[in-house]
Amino acid sequence: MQDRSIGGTDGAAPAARELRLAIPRDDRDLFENAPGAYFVADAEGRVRAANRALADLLGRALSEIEGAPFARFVVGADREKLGLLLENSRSDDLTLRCDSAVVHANGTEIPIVALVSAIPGEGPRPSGFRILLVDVSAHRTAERELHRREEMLRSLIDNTTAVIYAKAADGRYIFVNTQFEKLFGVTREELRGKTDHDIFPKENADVFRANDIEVLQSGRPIESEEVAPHSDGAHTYISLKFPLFDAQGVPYACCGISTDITERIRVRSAERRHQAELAHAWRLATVGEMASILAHEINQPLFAIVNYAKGCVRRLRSGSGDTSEILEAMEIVASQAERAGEIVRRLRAFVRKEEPVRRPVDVSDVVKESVALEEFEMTQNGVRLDLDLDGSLPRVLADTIQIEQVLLNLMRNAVEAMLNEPVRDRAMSISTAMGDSSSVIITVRDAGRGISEDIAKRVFESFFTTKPRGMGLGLAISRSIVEAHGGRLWFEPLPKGTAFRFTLPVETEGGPTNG
Amino acid sequence: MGDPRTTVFVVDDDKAVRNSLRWLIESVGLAVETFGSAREFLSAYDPECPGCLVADVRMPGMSGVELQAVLVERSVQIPVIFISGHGDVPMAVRAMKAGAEDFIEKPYSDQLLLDRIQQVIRVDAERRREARRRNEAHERYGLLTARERQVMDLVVDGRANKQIASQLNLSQKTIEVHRSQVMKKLQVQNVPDLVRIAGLVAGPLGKP
Repeated sequence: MQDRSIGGTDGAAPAARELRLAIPRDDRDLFENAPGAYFVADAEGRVRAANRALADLLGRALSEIEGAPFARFVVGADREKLGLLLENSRSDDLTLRCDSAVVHANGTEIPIVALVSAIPGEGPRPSGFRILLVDVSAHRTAERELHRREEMLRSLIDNTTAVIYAKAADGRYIFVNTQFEKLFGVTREELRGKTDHDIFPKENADVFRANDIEVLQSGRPIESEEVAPHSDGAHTYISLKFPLFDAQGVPYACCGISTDITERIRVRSAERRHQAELAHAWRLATVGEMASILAHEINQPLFAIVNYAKGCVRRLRSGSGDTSEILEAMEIVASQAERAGEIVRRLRAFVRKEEPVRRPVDVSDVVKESVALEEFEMTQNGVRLDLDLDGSLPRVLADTIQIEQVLLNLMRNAVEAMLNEPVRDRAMSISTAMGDSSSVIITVRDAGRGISEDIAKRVFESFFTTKPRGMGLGLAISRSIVEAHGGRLWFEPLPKGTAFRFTLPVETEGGPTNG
Repeated sequence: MGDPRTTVFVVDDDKAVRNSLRWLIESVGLAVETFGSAREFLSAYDPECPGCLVADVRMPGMSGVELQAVLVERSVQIPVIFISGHGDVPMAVRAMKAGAEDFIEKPYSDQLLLDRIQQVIRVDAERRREARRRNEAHERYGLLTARERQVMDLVVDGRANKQIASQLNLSQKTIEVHRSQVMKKLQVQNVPDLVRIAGLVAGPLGKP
């Protein structure tokens, strides 16, 4: 045979036959038909006898295999490794193991594990080897697949902008993703064995730990907002935390995925603020528009009245007009005055169409909502806000939007009143409290210059303003809103600054009394 | 006031307003005609009629500014006083730039309006008189023969008869005849009047 000239030695095949015949019949059957690829090699690694499974594994005839050095069927890179293994083995080595791969007759490489047991020889060197080859290709494929999947999961976890982490039941970190490392400036290695209290300020860490414990104790996922310090200030996260269970179903770790929603919150509040500003601007525009139309509409009859009246005066002075003519003119004056009155009446009717919607509301909620709208402006101008809201107040009957308008207006005035003060003195406070037994009182205090006496008399006048671009309607409208609610709006000078206060009547038994 | 046809034309879309203006303006003895729109006025107006136009700068249809533009386009020289409401000042300024005589912002004193009306009517009358004189001068000058014009030019230049005679190679007697013909045709009595007529003739024809 061809192979024989390559790797074999003359007489190898008859040796195999002899060897096989030397095996008792039952054992021989066992050898030849064993489901694993099995062969016996001599001390040099030459195949002396092989079974059918080996022939199948290699895709070759037994005659091709027997007598050939086994190394011939091993992938090139592994030949030396296998050679060394056999060379260095000793008679008393029971089982040696070698990961390798054989080459099928069709060229395919098949990963195998070779289990080698030495056949004791006369000296320390074995006289031969029994070798079992286990085809591990299915196993390798599974391993590769597992690795691929792990790699994919790892990429997902490390490439997401979410912060992902796992902490043991005692709070020590067992895993964090790349984003975690990046955001908080720690590496996985540095984190090993550390807890939140080692890396975050106590007030943040306490909250994290409390949430983790809740997850571990309840065994259920929870979602919560958490705040973490960043180099550019505090960021708000929405954190989904869930337990990891051991085989006994006991939670042994808390895993979390936290998404930074700071920007989203900022955008949302900016949007809301913008909406509120639009609504406000729209109202002012409408008032301005109406004022302009109204001015023209009322001006026309007034203009006519003045012309007629002056024409009459001139005729009466010069004695040139006759009585009937002047009477007629005076009639026209009267009818033009009525025309002006009619325009005012129509305007009133138009304004009344916007009926306020009054519902029982918690004043503190309205204050908080307004503060949320104005917060940005306050932060921007370095104004600190102190809220002192009485949580036990009875509800008041109010149009939330309108009361928000009043509060926004008072807050803006307060902010503007303090713009000339040093930043450290810019403090505003809003408080809610019981007034008398039937009303709630809301106070907006600023620490500005206060209101001088001559201005004080006029602050609630329409079109009176001290601001370069003000319309002079804010306080006038605010007062009219509060009064329409049955409350009062006034101000009190403070030692430093001004307090604007307004009352709203408490909701009486029997629900809304007016709409 | 000179011309009995002198009229104040009032254009305002608000009937009460235009009638009230009529009532006020008539109180100083001026004739008033009212129109509800700029278009109505344009179709009824005779440029020969002296006076002035009082119009609201903001009107539906043709605005005051557009009316002013049409008057300029038609070379109608009637003085225009615009009345503007509060906030229409920019519009009134545009009208002024387009040639309006004046604009008065509401509210105003009746005295101010009437004074302005009388003032622009005087200006209009003067302009018309000037135009009329200019046209008459042109007309009369047209009656002169070429020789008479020659003599007139030299007289206006300040030459004596004798100089003129020698310059034109004519007898002094003949010059005297031409000169008296010129004075007669131009209906002037003396040299200063003749010089004035020469000045009018040198200018363009006047518009009514």
